Amino acid sequence: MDDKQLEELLKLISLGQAAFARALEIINNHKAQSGKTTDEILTEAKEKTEQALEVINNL
Amino acid sequence: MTFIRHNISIILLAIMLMLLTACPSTDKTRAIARAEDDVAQGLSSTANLLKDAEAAGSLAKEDVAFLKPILTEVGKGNLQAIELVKSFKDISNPSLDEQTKLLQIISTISTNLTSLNNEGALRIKDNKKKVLFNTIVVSMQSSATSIVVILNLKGGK
Repeated sequence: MDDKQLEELLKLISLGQAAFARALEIINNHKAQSGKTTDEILTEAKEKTEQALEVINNL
Repeated sequence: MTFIRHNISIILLAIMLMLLTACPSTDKTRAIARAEDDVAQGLSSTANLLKDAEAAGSLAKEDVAFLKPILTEVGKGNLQAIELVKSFKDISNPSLDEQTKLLQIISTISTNLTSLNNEGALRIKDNKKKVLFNTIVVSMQSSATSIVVILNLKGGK
């Protein structure tokens, strides 16, 4: 395997790592939502969005 | 390798759809609420990533200023979508008019996410942060797209 291929492989691995980390985050989020009503999930989503907008506003 | 890289969004969309449609008792609105919550979480992760990237010097202040309004629009769009879903007359069976309104909001969110992905990829200098940024934005895109798929699913409530 030459240097270019190694670099390509490293990029792919980090992409895979990031994708898996994100997928894990989403799965855990869905797990945390079980047992909650649709309205509770929506309220939580609204709160998270508002908090994120506050962080964005302070960037 | 190229195949996987080019199809990472499809892989994430597949994961998202599996999560959102796997349970037979899951009604459409609940699945949409979950997708909106995923977008909210992605928004928060993106904001924190940009904050870290700026602090680490891999993103200039003017680049953050460029990305900020796009990200804000995504957030505002998600709030609109949440409010709309909350206002559905029959929460388990949204009318055609309500679904159309939701699709319009999702379309705007999706356009802004595409723009955010392209512009962010051009501006973030650190490769690892760039990959992470792309992944989060693509997963938000997948969540938004999954709402369209959920609305078109037959059966369920």
